[in-house]
Amino acid sequence: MDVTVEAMRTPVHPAARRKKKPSTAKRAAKLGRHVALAVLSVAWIIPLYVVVINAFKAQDDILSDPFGFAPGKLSLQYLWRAIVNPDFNVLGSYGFTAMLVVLNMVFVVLFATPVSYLIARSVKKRHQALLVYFLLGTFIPGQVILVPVTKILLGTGLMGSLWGLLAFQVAGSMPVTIFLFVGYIRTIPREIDEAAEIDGAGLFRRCWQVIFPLIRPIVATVVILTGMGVWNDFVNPQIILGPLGAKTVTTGIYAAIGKYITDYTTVFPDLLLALAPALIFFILMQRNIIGGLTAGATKS
Amino acid sequence: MKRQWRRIAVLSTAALAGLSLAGCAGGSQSEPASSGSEPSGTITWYVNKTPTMTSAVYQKVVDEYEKQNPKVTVKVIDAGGQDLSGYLKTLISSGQAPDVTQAQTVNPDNVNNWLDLSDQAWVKKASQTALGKSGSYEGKIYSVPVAYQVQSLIFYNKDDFAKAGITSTPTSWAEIDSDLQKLKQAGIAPMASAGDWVPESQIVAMTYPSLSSHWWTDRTAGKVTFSDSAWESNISRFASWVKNGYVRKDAVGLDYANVTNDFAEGNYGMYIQGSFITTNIAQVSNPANIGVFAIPLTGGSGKAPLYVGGAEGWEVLKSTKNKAASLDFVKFLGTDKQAIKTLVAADGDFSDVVSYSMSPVAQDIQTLAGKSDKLIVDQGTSVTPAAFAPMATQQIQNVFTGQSGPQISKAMDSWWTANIPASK
Amino acid sequence: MTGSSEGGVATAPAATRRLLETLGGRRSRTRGSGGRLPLLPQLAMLLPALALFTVLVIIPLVMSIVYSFTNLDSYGRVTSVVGLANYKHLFLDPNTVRALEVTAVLTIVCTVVINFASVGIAMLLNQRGPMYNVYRSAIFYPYVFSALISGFVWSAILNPDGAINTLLTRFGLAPVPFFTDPNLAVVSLIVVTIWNSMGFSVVLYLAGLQTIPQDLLEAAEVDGASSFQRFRKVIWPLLGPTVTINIVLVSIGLLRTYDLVVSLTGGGPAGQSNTIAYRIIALGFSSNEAGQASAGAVVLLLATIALAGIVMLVRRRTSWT
Repeated sequence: MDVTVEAMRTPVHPAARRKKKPSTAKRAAKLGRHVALAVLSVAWIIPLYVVVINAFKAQDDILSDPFGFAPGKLSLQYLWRAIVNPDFNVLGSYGFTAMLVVLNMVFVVLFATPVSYLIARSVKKRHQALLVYFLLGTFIPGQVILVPVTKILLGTGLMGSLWGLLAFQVAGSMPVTIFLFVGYIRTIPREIDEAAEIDGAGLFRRCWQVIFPLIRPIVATVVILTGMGVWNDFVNPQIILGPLGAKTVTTGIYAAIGKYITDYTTVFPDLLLALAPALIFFILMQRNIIGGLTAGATKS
Repeated sequence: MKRQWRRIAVLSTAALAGLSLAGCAGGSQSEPASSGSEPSGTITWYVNKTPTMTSAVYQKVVDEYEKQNPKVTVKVIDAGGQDLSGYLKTLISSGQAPDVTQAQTVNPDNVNNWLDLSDQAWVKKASQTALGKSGSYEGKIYSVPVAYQVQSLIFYNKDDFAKAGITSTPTSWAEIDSDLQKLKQAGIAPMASAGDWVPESQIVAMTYPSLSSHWWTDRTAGKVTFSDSAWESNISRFASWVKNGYVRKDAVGLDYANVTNDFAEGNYGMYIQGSFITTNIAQVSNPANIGVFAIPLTGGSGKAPLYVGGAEGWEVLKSTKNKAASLDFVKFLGTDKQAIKTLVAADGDFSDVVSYSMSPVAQDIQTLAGKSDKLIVDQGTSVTPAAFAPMATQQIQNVFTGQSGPQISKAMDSWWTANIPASK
Repeated sequence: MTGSSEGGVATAPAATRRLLETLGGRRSRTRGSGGRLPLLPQLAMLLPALALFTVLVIIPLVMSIVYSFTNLDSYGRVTSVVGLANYKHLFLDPNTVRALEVTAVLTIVCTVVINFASVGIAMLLNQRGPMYNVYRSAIFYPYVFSALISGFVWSAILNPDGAINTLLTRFGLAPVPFFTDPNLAVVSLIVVTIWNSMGFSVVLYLAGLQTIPQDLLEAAEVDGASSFQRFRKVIWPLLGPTVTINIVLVSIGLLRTYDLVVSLTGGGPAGQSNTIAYRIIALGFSSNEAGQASAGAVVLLLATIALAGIVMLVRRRTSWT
């Protein structure tokens, strides 16, 4: 910071403050930047383009001209057929997955906040040990515990049910969530807690009424992470909900496309339907999503 | 301040209420029958969905059964994109086993999963034939196939053969190899193959007619190996086809349904497949002129038997919570002529129990079957070990990654030695 | 700042200090409660998370470890304890060895490419202007898609009948065996993984870059520092901790690659593009070797811990904290 102070103290000639025309080198750099980024962006968008454009074409058109865009030959019928397909209830899976996402968000925040508050504000060694205990979870891949988990869920009668899946997903979210919450809460001055305590607030009240409103940014991060993770989860609903359970967007599309990728007029519309919610959500909430994901990370 | 408390209280109550509903929310696979002599309740039926055995086909059978038994509900489930027997194992081990399933080959590993049907009246009658017996293991009957599929066939495009100057169907592997070369020279894609389970099933079709009916028992006793048997010859042959360009090098990335349709429309000269593709062929919009001949012997001389497998056989899981309805449904599937006909016609099976109008190709197969000995492998105690198919499916795909027949056979033998205990 | 003394930790930069505290550093006592918190509220706050986590994560972990020493089969039955036999089988099985290779290659290549490229792209993006937001969105958007669906999308583009090969054959070129050549299949996994996840790292580093005070950089420029020196002395040290954490998280996530393999290559051809996670699930469910699957799972767990440890060690050695 000393450098900055020095720089600010050095008088700057008024004439120098006028906007100078950028040098050729700078203009070339700017152009180069745009070209590089534009090429990258186009490359990144191509797969989406392929899905969107082919969701409206007939099979022969797809096979003969996969990248082509011929307005006269486009039709909504394939998309409609995919929406009303009895084997894959798309709209139903949207609703079910959305409900799963909301439930996860609620319970993750509900369970992680008190324990994080306790750990963040405590001086006892055992609470720090608790944090390490939870952090162990970040190293445990889901596949390692899937089979025993199904046995446990079976024993408690939760196998095949939404609640069993929810319980497992929430349990899995605890490590990262608690890590982020604890880090963030620790940046909040203790004076606030102390003031509330002097005012007569107990542990519970201090946690929820005083601190919780202050950790909104990190809650946003967690909500986004959890939401995305649950929406895109495949293995867990596949195994835990089972063949008779409701379908999420991922398990539904897997069943619809599965082994027989015969008919591109089914595949592309199905893929478009699978991508659409996430894409629309992203376009609408870009700033919040990107902000939310990075806020927590840079602050902690 | 008070608002937050209320919010928390509401959420906690909701959570507690939700958790207490956990039991009710559990998906129940089968409900026990209510008292009464009629079967009732819900059962699940685990089936194999293919391009020709569609949801509609199975639903037709279910509708007919539910009409006759209004108190029973049958839910049809399938493996989604996964391997049929693999997914069944997943379901069983995660406590979500179905009640009735497409018959799985019975072996020491899974024998405890199936209900013994020997005491059922209809079973006693239906299991008098060799086919009917093929669902038995160590004296107990677990399923009764009512139809059969012919597996060791080579379908061919009659017009392509004529164009390539092939005047008669081959009767030996040497002739087949030379015919493949003629097809290639005439600019025709000689031999069709696809990915996933197809290469292994093609090798099995090529090999089984040359194996004895107790080959698996012999293998377990170490009397024979993959490397010194028809297995190795045929895998080598297939590898040479890939190398010579008779089979597309990227065939393992192709989809079975696409390739079958392509063949049916006349884009390949030959295709090793089972009789079940006759329905595919009939359903294609511009079917080519398709004929069929039997797979010849590997080594040795003489006429090869036709390798047939039982079809439309069903097992009941021991874990079923609704034994009455499950047994009744399986009886329906095994005796109701209409139900059998629906399934058999869609799957292109052959049956002595029902008749239906068969496509020309299917009739050719039936004629062929009438003239040949039939070989039913996987019966009695000589059965394919449970883990064989997934391992072989993967190993045999190595014909496309440049491995040789001996290499692949050796890998299969190493796997066997490491995983299958030798018999006493 | 907070009124408590930090002891020897006080001189470290603020970001690191917070990180170290989070990992259990010491803090002195506060005034007020004197360290005695009422028990019942404490338990109520702890219990839900603790119970759920223990029952559905830690206990299954212990069960997996125990199962790995038995001959658990796919039907869930255990008949005997076999000691280290499962581990031996695992490493003797060429398919599993291949799966470990594929996982290692995938993890290392993707981690390196993603992180290096992301820093560079973030620097390119760190400008004002409306187009830059468009570029940023274009690079980030695949991150919201699940790996499973990304795999299906790219499968439709790369498979022998897919978009690219159709185009190639139309121009008389040979089709590229993206999924049918064992090594190209792994390359396909790598490419799709990068497409899917790079956006997150880019955005993370961009945010990190944007917290670097402009004045600092300008002052360095005035002092005559070249672009490269500015990067090394100003940008890299401040971005360092973020990079470390991202490398650890990205690589740990990559070790678990499963969904993508299911939809893109199916583990083929001939199981040559299996990852270890895919092999574990295949062993556990389709074959009758759930005991081996558990052993594989334990190996994956150890690899995860080892990887995180190695990354943290390397970074500490190069003292960029």
